[in-house]
Amino acid sequence: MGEIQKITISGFRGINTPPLELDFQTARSMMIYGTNGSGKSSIVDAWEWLYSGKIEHLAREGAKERAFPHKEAQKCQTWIEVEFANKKVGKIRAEFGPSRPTKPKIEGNLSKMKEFIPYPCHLRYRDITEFVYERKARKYEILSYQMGFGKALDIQNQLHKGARRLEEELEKLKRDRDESSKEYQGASGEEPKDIASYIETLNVVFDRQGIASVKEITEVKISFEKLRGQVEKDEKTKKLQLWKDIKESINKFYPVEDIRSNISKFQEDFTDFKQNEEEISKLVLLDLYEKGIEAIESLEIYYDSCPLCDQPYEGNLIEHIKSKQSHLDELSKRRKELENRRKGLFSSIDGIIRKIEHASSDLEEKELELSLIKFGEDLKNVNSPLKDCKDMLEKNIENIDKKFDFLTRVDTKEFVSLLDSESEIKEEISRRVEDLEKDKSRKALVDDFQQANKLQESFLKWDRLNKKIERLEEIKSAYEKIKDDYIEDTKKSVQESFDAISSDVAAYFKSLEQDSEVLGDPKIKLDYEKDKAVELEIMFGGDPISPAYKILSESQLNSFGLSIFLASAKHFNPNFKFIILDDVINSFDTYKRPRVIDVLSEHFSDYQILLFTHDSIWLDRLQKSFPQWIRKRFFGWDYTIGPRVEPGKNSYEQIDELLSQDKPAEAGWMFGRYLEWVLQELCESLGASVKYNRRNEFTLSELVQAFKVRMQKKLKSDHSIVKLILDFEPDEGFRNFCDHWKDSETDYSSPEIRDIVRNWKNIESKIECDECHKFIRYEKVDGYEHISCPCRKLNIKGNEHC
Amino acid sequence: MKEPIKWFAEAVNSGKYVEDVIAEIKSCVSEDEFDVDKFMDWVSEQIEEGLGGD
Repeated sequence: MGEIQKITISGFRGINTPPLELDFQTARSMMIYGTNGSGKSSIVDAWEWLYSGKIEHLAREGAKERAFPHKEAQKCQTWIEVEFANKKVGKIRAEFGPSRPTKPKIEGNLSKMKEFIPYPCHLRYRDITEFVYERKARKYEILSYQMGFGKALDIQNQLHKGARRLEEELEKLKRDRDESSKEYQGASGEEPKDIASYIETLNVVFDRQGIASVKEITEVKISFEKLRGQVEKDEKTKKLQLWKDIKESINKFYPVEDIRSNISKFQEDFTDFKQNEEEISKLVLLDLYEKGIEAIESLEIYYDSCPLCDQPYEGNLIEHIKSKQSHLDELSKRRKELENRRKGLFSSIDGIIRKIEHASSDLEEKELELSLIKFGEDLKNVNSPLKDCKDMLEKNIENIDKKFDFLTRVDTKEFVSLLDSESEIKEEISRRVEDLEKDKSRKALVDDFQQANKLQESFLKWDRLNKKIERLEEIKSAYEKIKDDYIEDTKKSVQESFDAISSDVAAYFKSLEQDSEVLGDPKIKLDYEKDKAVELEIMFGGDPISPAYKILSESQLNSFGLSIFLASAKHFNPNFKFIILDDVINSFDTYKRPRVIDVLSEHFSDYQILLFTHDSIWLDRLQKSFPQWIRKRFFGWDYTIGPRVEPGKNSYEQIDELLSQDKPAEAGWMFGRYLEWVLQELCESLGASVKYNRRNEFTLSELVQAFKVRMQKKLKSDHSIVKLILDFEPDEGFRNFCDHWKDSETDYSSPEIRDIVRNWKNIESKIECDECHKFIRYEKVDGYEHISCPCRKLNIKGNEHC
Repeated sequence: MKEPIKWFAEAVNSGKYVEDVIAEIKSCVSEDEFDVDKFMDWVSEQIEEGLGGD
């Protein structure tokens, strides 16, 4: 009994209805063969969706949850249901809800399942390749999440965010303090230092106006109020004070940018741009075209129709996509230019609104004379339409209402009045001030009052900011220590986890890379100098090489990645012995693929495995090694149904089926491909000498010849197996087959092919172990030659001393 | 690795950290999240409170 009893998937990605059932009642593990595009990966996607509520690789490609249901699936038909053997977990079902696509509707105890499976147990080919080439920090994140440190890592990232926010806050307070320091300096001629120097500066002003000096800061307020009293007791002095305040406000308000012509031009171009909304909506495709070109160039896969527009194309695919891309380029340029102008106008209007708000606030409680009452009313009237424009300009061009009229909101008589009245207002104020300042003592009193006011405001602000900065620095320092300790502890735990899986990683890697004598001791290394950084290291000829990709081939790197995944699954899911492997052998060279089977049979024999592949030859090997597994074959994909499923067949079963349908050419082709692979493996493991050719291509004849010569040399000529081989090889039909099996024009009858296959099967049955399901190999140990299978149950040479 | 909540609870009791800061961080940590906004609101209160009267 395995961990999973049944997986049922409906209406998900490439699977429609009726639901696809993977029933594990008859055997623990299952292998599914299917060509690319037959719907295999939809099963892994559905599993990941159930496990984590998302599908990472689709999210990275920008596909949202709405892409999960099959296009034909009706409401409530998109779901996955998994029956666990563990009764505490039971049955879990995730159903897609169109009204809330980001959160699947869950039935069953999902948290129990997560407790049971803390570590992801599914692996795709693309997961391995992406991982091994990721940046150091991303590798750290992937590994940490996969090893169950997801929560700790999220908190670590948020603690970093908190540290950045504290730093930003501190910077802001310091900037404000500098600003108030400048204000103080403007009023006193020197930087603010302390209370004593502030009081000293103030006393100079108080002395000039006959007010007694102050000794303590608490006395400042009283003396300042005395000074205010002196200003307010004389009506003309009070007026001068008012006009000088207004003068300062007006000087801050003007100049005001006249944005009318810019707005008018923007309105014109914007209206023109928005004429064709259909074309604008296609601009989102530009990014897709760019990424598509990048992906097609790097993947070097050839398509019959364009994978982006799904239309057939003539000539070069990249050129086809580029022609579509250039069509949108002109529109994109216009959009970009309009966007820049939008941002510029937004910033201008925002600046004007700020000035209006400051001026309004300054003038609010003042008794204004007629000329300024009009100015105050204009400020109020222009504010609201300008705010409407600002709100609209905050949106991207695509989202701005095409009927929105900017110009009528900006080009108002009030706004024009504000612009036109600058010199008139300034002149009026200057005249008033000059008139009232004719009395020198009045002028001196108002100047002193204004200076004392500025000194007081700026010093108190500066002092408050200093206290805030001091407190914030205390908090920040305490926070940093807590954050650093938490991160350090997380790193230690992550390193402990790396160490815990390191011996398994090394064992699996050694198995997968048994030919590489100079490679060994693969390690996952944490970079302690950096907060989040991990790299893969390998010993090469006795020297540690990090990052390992400096010297490892893609296939070797993938061995590393697969070893890490398998070791992690074993170590971190100790109570859940189930793994899903989706085409993970893809990046391995053909000769290395059987070693994945070795790793599974040596280290995961007690595991339930759901395995997908599109390599039929490897599948044969897998079936020989795991005859008890359930076999399924996705023999096609139908848009309305999804994968078309039948019981899985090995090469011999498929050949039999073809022969029974009297399809000798197809059967012969399949047998030839199979035999070529078996003979390559045999020649390699027996150390047979195959005739060299510069094309590095070997025909069946050369391989059979090499196999026969080697067996003759190492076994006695009357050995029953040698006799079978000798009888097999000279058969004329077989020799013709060897030379011409790839040539579909050559006719063979079904009985001819059946004879050839039967004879070979007879030989194969004598050289393949029924225990370890492996072929014989040649070994010389302590001077004794062996031709035996790896488990030694089948030993056809016996112990003969050479 | 300890669960984040447990780590911060132990940190509060360890006496290694400034008391009010670690207590506030702990109160902002849930099962899988540190609420930065909540913590920054507390920081703002702290720096205002420290001013007292003018």
